[in-house]
Amino acid sequence: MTCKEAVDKLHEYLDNELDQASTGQIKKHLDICRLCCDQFEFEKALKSLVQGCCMESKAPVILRNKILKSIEDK
Amino acid sequence: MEDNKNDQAKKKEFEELFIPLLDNLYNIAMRMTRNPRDAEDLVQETYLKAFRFFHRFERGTNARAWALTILTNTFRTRYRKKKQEPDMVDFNAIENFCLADEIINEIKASNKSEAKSAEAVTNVLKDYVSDDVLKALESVPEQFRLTVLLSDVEGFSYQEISEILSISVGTVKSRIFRGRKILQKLLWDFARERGIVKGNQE
Repeated sequence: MTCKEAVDKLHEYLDNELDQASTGQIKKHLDICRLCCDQFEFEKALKSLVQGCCMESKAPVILRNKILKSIEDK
Repeated sequence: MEDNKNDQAKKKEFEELFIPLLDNLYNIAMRMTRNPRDAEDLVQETYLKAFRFFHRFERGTNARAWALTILTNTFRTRYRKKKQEPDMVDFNAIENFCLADEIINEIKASNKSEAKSAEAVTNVLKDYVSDDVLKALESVPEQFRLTVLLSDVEGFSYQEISEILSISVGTVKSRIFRGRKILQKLLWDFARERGIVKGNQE
């Protein structure tokens, strides 16, 4: 697998969207290619950064109560 | 009497399935509407619709995916018309943008040593505070933002996202790819503005 092929599939690999064969190929490539491996680690870190930042807020209690009340009133 | 019992049972079942998803829905709504007031309205409307159409929910299927389908459809019909975003994305410039490469170049330029490790690159990400990340994310055009959120935050597969948004898996794939690139570009611009990194002077 070339770097270009690996980079093309990097996001799908990150999102667990590749079949077993492609996953194996890309894993092998990342083991031997520092550059692609760095990029993969970076994309992975960014994905979890986005996830972490977006999970921070809690829905306001007032909203929860409003929703519960509107269901009860139905 | 019997009807009343059924009603109560239905409400109880609905609440047990959907109230635990409130924070998820609220967070997605916040990122899409970009303000708490609209987010609350959107979430409330989503719950009302979900309750109204609860009979259509197939038991045993993913309640979160179902609720998010309602939320995204409501968002699209209700809020999209309100604020038309200009199509300000130059894809040619972004397609090849790679934040990791930019950071590597930056580290090389400012540091004589070959600090080109993954750790050094990902460390730069730690300098971003959540507000920066959220601000950058909220500047990503809607359709890309939504797809990235469903993947990164909600952890849905491309197939699930394609069903939630009624688009093909191929479109999901390209929106995720482009959305992440746009986000990286915005984060980079932001870092340069704020002096987190110097960036290559143009």
